[in-house]
Amino acid sequence: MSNSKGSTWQAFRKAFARDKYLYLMFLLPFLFYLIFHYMPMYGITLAFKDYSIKQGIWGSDWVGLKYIEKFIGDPYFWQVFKNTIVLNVYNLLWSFPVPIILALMLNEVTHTKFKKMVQTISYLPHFLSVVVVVGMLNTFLSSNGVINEFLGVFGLGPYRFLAEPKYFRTVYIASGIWQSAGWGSIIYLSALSAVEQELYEAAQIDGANRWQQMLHVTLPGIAPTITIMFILETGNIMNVSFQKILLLMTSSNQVISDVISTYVYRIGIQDANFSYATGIGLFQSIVALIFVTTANFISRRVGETSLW
Amino acid sequence: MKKKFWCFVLACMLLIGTLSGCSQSSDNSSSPDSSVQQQAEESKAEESSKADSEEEVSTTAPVQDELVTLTVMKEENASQVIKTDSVKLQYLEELLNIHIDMQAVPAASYEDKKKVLISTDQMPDIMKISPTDLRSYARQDMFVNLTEHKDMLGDFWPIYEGVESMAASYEIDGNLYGFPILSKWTERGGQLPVIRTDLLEAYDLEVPTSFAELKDVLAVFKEKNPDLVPITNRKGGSTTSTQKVLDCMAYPLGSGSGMYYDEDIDGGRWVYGPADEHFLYVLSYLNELYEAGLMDPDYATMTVDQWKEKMSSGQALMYFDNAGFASDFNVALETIDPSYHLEAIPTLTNELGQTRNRYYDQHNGSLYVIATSSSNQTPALQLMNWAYSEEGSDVFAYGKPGETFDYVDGEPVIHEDLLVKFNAPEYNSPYYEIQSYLGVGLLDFTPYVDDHPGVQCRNYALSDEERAEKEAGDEMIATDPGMREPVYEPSLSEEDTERYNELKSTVENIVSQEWDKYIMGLEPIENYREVIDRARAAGAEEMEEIYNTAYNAAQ
Repeated sequence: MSNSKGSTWQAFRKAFARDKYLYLMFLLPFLFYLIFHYMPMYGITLAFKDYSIKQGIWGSDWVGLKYIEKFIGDPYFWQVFKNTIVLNVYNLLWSFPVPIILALMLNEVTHTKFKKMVQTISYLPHFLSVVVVVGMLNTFLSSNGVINEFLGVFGLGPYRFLAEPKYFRTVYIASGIWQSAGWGSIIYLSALSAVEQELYEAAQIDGANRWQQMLHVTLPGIAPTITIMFILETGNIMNVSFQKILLLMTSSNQVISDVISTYVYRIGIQDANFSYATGIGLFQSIVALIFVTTANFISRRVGETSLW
Repeated sequence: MKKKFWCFVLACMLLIGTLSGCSQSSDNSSSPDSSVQQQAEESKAEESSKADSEEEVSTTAPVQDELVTLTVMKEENASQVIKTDSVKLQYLEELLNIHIDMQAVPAASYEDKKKVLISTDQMPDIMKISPTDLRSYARQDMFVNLTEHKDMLGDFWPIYEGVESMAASYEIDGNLYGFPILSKWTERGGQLPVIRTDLLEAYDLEVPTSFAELKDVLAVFKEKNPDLVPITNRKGGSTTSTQKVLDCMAYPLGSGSGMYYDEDIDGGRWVYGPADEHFLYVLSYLNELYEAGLMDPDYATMTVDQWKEKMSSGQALMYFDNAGFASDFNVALETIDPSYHLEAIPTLTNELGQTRNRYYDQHNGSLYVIATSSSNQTPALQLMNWAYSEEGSDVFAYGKPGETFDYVDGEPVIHEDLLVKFNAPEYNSPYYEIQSYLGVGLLDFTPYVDDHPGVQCRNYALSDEERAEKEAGDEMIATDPGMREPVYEPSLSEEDTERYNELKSTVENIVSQEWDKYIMGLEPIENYREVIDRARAAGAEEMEEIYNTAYNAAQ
């Protein structure tokens, strides 16, 4: 037993000595997750306590599942739950394929300068803050904004893009695609560069045209990356862009735009009901965990790629 | 080997760089201490000059033996910048040995920040809160109980007790936990219809006296100026644009935008407006304006900046909000065309035949509280009390005696060079700019408000004719029979506060997301009755009962 322990320790020391620089670089993300993600988990206990300011988190009384039950029984529960799921499923359906398509298209471009220009332009919106993006949306989509002015040329509109609930999801998802498609395509471009050139040559000998090469060589080549990214995206299905929704939300589109995270903000920060807000947040995390586990399970069963 | 060495160096640099970033922030966090130390040293150096000024200070002034730093947090209104080195703050330090560390938080995020700080027991020494906060947190021992220190508050207490019915609203179980912001002298104001009167003259229209007439007037405006917006609005500090429209217009139209006192229902009682039948009149009128193209098509998404831009550029022809903004808009409008002129008009009669509106609370309706966690409670209490004294309130309102104001016939008067300076073209608003420079007025840290400096500055550059017109406008607002005094909310018991907050959260979720559907005409107005039924069943009725029971008991 002690021999086995000794050999494990020796193996670890050997591995550490070999990859010490990698471990050193790993230290920062490790500390980041420890400090900003694991340590705050202590606060989750608030979901099971009746928080009192003076008594603090630990000193407050335990109330069991009171706040989780309260949320499920909340008349507002189904509305925010449905809004969260629908917005994310739509987001996944529309936003997920775009970076893949963009990467495939860029992969086919042979003119290097043009390719670099398209990449630069498509990456740029990623670096804009959400506040700036929403400010731009407010300006462009107002009744006398550039979009309505343009549509007016064809006798259309004006449309109340930001005020009417029916446009909210379109505005949210379309602006999200514009902002993230370029950046999101990087990982697929990287996967594409790893596809063996010999496979293309073999396909060409077999008489495959560019389209057929893409279908039968390129796509299968990046399929594992697509699967992993899809599972990760599924894990985020409950985590909508809280900031952006909050900035875009008005009383007129609240019926569609109000999601669990904005509800948590209202209950927790605005109404200062921290225990209830933590309970709702915990519920959201549990649902997200179920989603990602299920997606991983299905992926492992159907294909051969999975996160774990 | 060389490669490994460089790998090691790079990894170390990455780590050190990031950690130094962290330590940088901790350095920053400690900067207030170092600044306090620096100020302490400076104060020692200034000891001799202070000794001179102390001779001029009255005995009531709370001069501290050592430099004390008090952190004060309040919201910052976009109209008036809060300067951390204003004349007043510098003079307070020179005079009292009290350094005020002003923390101005943008109004839009103030509610959030305030609640987080209170709820995590990290309050600054002095903080501005609302009566709702007072009722929610005072019992949790977050704020210093002023009643227990009544003997220290000889300047404040008689003034506070002189304000009728304030105690019934602000005292929690017989104790006062905050210094209400009181008015020494303020202009009467309110959320009024403010309209381009030059256009009324140009189109030969009478000043509207009812909401029905107003609609006709706006229709003429629209007909003559199809590209302009007849009436626009803004977003509130932490409320939505629609909520702000309702806050301004619901009461004059016959209902209220939240819990409000209605003198015209059952001889007077508290009503939750959006869950009351009279609210249909409000939605119906706004819907008529919207469908006729008279209301701003972007009313639900308007920001403060967009509102100011539209009003100042002449793109919008009317607003229903704080009448005080008209003078600033007029300055901008007159640069486009000297004839352009916005003016408040008397209260309009609604469909129910009521002619009613409310003044702003002359005493503001907010409070400054001292944190029980503060290590400087005594200086904070002394400073706050002094702010209500004759001498202190003049400093808080006018700045430094001899430098920014002098007493003329016993009355403080701002120095003329300042009035000239802030009426120069580079200053957009003489009223707010001088107040910002001095660090005075309701929008700065001022517990006992005196509007004279701003008004003196604003009126300085006016011609006799303009001044007469301005005074007539002020007189119209001050004597408008339709304007009513605000009614203070009742103080609730601990149990009722908790229950009321819980119900309010549920009911607000039901009603607030419905309003725009009806204003925009997406749903027929009659269907709102179903929303009322839902809201009443969810607790609106009980909320009214809680308020009425507490109010009647206090009467």
